[in-house]
Amino acid sequence: MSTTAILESLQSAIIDGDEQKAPQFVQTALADKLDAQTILEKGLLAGMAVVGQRFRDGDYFLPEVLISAEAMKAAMTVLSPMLKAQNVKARATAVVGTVRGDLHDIGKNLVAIMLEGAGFEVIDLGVDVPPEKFAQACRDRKVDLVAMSALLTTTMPEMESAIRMLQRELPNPPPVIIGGAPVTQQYADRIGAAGYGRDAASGAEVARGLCAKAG
Amino acid sequence: MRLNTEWALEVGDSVLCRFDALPLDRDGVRRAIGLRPSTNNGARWEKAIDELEKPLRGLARGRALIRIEPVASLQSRRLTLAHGPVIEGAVGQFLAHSQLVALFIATIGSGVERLSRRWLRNGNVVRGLVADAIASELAESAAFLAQQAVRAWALSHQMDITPRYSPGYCGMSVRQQTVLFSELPARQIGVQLSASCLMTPVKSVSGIIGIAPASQVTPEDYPCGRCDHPNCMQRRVPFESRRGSCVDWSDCGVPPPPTHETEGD
Repeated sequence: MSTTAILESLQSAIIDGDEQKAPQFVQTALADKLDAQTILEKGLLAGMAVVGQRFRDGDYFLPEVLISAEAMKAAMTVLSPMLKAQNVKARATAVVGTVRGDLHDIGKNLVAIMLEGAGFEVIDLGVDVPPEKFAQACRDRKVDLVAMSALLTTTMPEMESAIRMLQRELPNPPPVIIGGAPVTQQYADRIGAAGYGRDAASGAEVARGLCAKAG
Repeated sequence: MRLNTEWALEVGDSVLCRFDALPLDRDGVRRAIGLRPSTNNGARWEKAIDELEKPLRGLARGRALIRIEPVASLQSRRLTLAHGPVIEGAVGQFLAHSQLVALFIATIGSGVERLSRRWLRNGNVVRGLVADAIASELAESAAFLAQQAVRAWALSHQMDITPRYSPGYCGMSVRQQTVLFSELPARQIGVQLSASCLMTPVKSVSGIIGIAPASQVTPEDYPCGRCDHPNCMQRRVPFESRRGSCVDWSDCGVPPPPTHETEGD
């Protein structure tokens, strides 16, 4: 099998969401002496880019995108040790969390999975995250993006508090994207968020766009 | 606080109900996941639902606490119970004509949501999301069975029930949870309230059900009977009918409706 054929097969496995074949093709690529960064960029992320395009075109919906993300995750369990060994850095680093007062985590977890699928290193702060903790996470590491989630109208205002704190406390605050059931683009605009994700898949698309612009 | 575990609802008693077998609305699970007939790989999701339905129903611990109390007064924004507590919100609309109310908390426990979290953490997206959707539907079932128990009591007293009305929805602040939790021994079913008035386990439902003379209860007269909010589980009107909502969606705590343009009109 040629290098091109291996990478195309890997892309197809990701696009089709084949969690059995995706890690097998990573192993084939490694056995063929392909370097980890090439496998990541030209196999896995290229496959996820097609998935993202199909999502934007309306051919794929969230269930299809998540199946692909699962295949990506399965492939990464094989590839991650090699990426580490070859000192390959993630495309960007994102901090994710559900805002203070809110205990809902399903949406936030899906966003984390989708961001990993888009090549981000994800720092997951969990649920009920106070603004100070978002700010501290951005001080501790070079963070390229913050993603905040809220499920309730009553906890949504915490997003604004956290954004204000990042703007106040950090010399160069990273862009913030927000999402969650009651959140809208209008609300994101009103509180000064850089982006809004209607769901986990579009959140990852917005994140990718923002980081590509910044990078 | 007296606790009656024999399911015999009585005014003034807190009753603990155990639901051994919670029904599961598989269409509700599909809706929660976003499955459509045309979904690529739809078979994988269906297979996961098939595989997980039985074990997760076995893991769910359906419980509810119900307490029926007489109403002293019912104003548009204020309900006063006969023994003193006050509940604020759009009670005049949602609980119209009620002479008694049933306060309730229903849950399925934390087992299924813990499993869902673990699967998602480990990258098992399909199982994690299916488990979360099943847990949500089972919690709805527990709330529905609690509602049915109240209805059976009401009918036996020549009365009927209003749709349920929950803190955090349609003009009732989530802070009103504190009233419900002061009236019911929530620890008996393992439900706790956070400082921000959210329940743990998350897959729990609380609310108030009005009990009124049967002749005065017409579902269409209550906001949920007229509202066509596409994302609210209490909606009774098909969204397609687009009759226009009777409530202000911006205040109602459920996801905002999609604009009609994006719905393929």
